[in-house]
Amino acid sequence: MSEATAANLSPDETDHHEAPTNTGIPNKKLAMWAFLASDCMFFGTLISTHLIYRRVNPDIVIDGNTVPVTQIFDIHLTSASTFILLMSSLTMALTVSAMHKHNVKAARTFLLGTIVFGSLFLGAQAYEFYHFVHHATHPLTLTNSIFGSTFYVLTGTHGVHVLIGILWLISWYIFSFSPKFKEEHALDVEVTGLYWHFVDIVWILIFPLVYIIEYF
Amino acid sequence: MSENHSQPSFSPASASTLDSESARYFTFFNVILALIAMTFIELVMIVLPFHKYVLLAMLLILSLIKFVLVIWYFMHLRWDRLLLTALFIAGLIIGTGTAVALYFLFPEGDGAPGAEVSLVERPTI
Repeated sequence: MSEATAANLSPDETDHHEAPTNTGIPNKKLAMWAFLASDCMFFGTLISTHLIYRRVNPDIVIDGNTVPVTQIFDIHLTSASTFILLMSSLTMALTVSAMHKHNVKAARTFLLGTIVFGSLFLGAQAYEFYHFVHHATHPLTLTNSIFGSTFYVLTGTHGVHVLIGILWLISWYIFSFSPKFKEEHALDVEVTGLYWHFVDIVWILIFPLVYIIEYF
Repeated sequence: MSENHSQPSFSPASASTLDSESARYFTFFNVILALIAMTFIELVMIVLPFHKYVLLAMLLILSLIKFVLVIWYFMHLRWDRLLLTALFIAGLIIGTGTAVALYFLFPEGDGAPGAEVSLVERPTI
């Protein structure tokens, strides 16, 4: 690559040793963005389904009794979960940054941080679901109300996305100790990061539209 | 020597990469502080004595700002090519448009106590 050509490329592009493409964007990154665009539509349908049923059925009826949803939700726990997921986005961004700087040790540390934060979020969600289902007076299950059905499908699908992300991150963490782990993998880690941040932005929408809105 | 063979070995990054990534490092911390502050404001809004629709509008605006901050900075759209932004926005517009259209297509329930209305059983117009 000539000096003039190299000067026109961003630092990311010069360091990744990717084969040139027509778009100038690595194929893996383009594919991930296309997938995320399609996932927007997927979560769009789930969120709209929940909101439509809340609009049509303002009352939540469980076993014949009308139940205020604020008696079921624990906003403090959900707020803490939100904070944890936001922090995981920071550590993921720092992981990608460390990979671009070829600092494997720092990347590994931040990667581990992201895994821990993601696992804490998932643990908090499992705890939340358990307490909703085993609520003393108003148990909320997948089948005993329309609200339960749409709520669990939406937040559960998001939880599955988080779980897939954690497994993906764990595989990178283990692979980072291998001598086969090369500079070229910086792009792959960045693609994983895109997925992880997407999971975060979906929660950024779910938190106010599903939880906070119930308190107004 | 044996340790070198069992651990990944990366060449030093270029000076320009180190400079640009160091600048981003501080940007990331500013972004996360803004995200946490806005999440805190969302929580405080629960107790604010404003009209429901004012609070809803504020909530949507805050969520939108948080959303944009994450995709713009954490997901690197600020530094990537415009095609990626266009691709993602296209999916976002279709998803959001469908959601909003469906939301306003269905009428608001009457809130009759003890009654859950099924969309399937509802008479078509």
